[in-house]
Amino acid sequence: MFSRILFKSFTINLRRKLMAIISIAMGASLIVVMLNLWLDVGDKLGKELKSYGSNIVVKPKSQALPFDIGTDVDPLEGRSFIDESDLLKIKTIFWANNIVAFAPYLETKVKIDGRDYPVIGTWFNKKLVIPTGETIHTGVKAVKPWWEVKGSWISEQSKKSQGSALIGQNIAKKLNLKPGDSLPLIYKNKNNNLRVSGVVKAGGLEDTKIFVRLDELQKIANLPGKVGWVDVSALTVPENELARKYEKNPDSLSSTQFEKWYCTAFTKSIAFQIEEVIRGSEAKPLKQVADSESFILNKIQFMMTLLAVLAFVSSWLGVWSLMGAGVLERSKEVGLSKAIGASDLAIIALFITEASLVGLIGGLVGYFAGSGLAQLIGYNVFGRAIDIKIAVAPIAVMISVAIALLGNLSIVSTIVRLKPKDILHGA
Amino acid sequence: MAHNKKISMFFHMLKGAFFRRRTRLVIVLLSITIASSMVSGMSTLYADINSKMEKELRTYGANMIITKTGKKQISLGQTEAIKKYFKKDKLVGFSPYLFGNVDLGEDRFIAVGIDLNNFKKVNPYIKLALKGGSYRLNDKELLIGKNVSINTGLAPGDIAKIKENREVLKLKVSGVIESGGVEDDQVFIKTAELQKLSGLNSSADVIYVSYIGKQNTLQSIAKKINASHPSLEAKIITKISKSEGSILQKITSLVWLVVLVIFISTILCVAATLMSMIFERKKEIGLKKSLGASNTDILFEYISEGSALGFIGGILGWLLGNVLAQFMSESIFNSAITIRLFTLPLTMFISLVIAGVSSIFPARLAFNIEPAVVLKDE
Repeated sequence: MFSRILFKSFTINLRRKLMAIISIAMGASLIVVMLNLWLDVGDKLGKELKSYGSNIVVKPKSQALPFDIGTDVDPLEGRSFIDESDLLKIKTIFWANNIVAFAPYLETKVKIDGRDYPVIGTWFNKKLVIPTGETIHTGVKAVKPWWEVKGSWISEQSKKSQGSALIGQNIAKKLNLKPGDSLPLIYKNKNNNLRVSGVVKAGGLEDTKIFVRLDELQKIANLPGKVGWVDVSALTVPENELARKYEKNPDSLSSTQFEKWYCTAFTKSIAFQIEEVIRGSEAKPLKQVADSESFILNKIQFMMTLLAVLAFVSSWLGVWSLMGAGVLERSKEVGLSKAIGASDLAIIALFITEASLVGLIGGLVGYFAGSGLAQLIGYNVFGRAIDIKIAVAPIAVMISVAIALLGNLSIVSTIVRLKPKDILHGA
Repeated sequence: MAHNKKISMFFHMLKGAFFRRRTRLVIVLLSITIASSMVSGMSTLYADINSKMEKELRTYGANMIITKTGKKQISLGQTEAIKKYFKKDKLVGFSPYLFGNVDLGEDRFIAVGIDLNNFKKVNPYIKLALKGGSYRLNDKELLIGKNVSINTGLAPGDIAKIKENREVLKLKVSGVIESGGVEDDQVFIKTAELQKLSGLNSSADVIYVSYIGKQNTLQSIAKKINASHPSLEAKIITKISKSEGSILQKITSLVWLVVLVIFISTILCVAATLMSMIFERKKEIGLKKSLGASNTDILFEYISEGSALGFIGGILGWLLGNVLAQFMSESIFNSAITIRLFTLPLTMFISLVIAGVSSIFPARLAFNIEPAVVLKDE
């Protein structure tokens, strides 16, 4: 009998039930969109923020970064180095997948026309086979995506790139060089003949420097396998209480807290893991990029949270008012049921089951619609798919059912108070 | 006379519709208010998101650098002149740096002459290192980078002797700062003190500028400076300004799509509610028709009723939406949001359309309703 009434309630009032389902589906899809975006936006925007360049610098322990204000010191004198062979280990740390790119540098000075110029040996877009067997491409091209090169990039893979150099735009202007010109460098009275492959427009200190292949500079400077410092670009999560606690005093963390810290992709914990694998190194977060990124991501995530809450409240109110509207008109039905002997409990059970069914169907429809919408947003904004979390499905369905039930809550008291004769009399 | 009666009857019915059906009315009004508050709140927020985020992204620091082209340093007069090229309300930070080499203990370090307030504005990410004393720079004080502190053993409160040529200055270390970059290996003192040491009275070697503006804006300012000051070169720090452009665009389009989704889904939700209330009015229409109301009368009545609801809901929603946007802006960006008047007509339009469309539906029903059939109770 119960199921028959339930069935009839859906078939006779199909249009009204459809309205309710559609409206709940709307609300649910909104919640699904917001939840998915909220869960994934940190990741996606974090990747976009990588365009600001590296956020971790790895250098030999307690060594200063070279900073040129025109003094006559040899940047290589009395320095310690990192071994190039250790670099691949960066891709073996716990958070290896979060390492987007890295590039090693070795800097010294060479003479051109009797004047000193800084020259940097680096990887441009080097093909590497990492210990897991995967092949990756990394180098300055990935670490400094804002570089504009007139002429052509240098490729480590081709033989032709031997003896090629990229030069900063200021040097190109000063020495009147363009791609294809020859570039005679003198290092410690030894002549090295290079060729300009491209001119770099970087809008920074790089504009005053010369870039050659790392192996070539190592040969020129007679420092085989040595690297001055490494820029690492890593995907990180914004700092939280735990990260700040570590920063204040690493020893204050309990072993479980430390484990949690170690296994979270904070900038500091990734730096810590890099230090572990590269001998004699010190990995430091570059505050300009790391802290700003953390700050921006926190802002955006907070904004998405507020928007999600807002979306939730608004869809809840919308669905609730729809439910309220539906209930008002069914008082006659309730009166009749009561008159022919239905108990309050039976009627309430009917309403609850109906609402749950509506919520369930609406929630499921909403889940699929919402996932699709989230995907659409992902592709439009980031050009990539949003990582759809399955966990969102039960949440969406539960919320929908809850909304539908809450919408019907007000009836329960109405049902109990209803007197059949008042209703059926046609008030 | 008859005309007057008709008008008063119309108002009587409108009043009746509002007061006798209070619960329904509250629901309809609530729905319209939600929809229009979303419309006004979201569009206000969206209109401001670009400028708000632009300001937030200045946390990355300087996006323009002005250097000397020759050996001659930048004079105070030049510094003042350059500052005029930037609009005051968009200029976040403007910090001249004067460089010098100084002896501190056994080693030689780069000393930077700065004004700390300006320095902080172009380097908002630089913070005190662990146990770093305080982040201030008075006369007779100096701030040191973290590595300098490690290499020299100097800690906050210590007196440092810095030497250049034959001049010696005794300064108290006020704090140790950390950036992870080159600043960790430098010492910072007031520009005036560095001038005393070096005996020069130029004001800067470079000027770092943090300015709210797109790459093009910065480019045109740099061009103007370069044209009128041949001894200087203004350059955009591409790393910062180029990235900012792409990030800003991503964020704005993300917010735009999210806002659009909230917008549409709320409107549809509300429309569904209003539609569902239509069907109960069949009987009412039947009764009115049987008493002699024409189709036009009914159409007119419902449209007026809908418009009145749309109007009230629209205004309430607009107010509520502004409160909402204000609240969001205050909590996310710590700054008030600009109330945009264009949202008022937009909100009113949408709420009137929602209310109008959903009231025209029952009115349309009127054309097909046979009073006898409806009143007989199906």
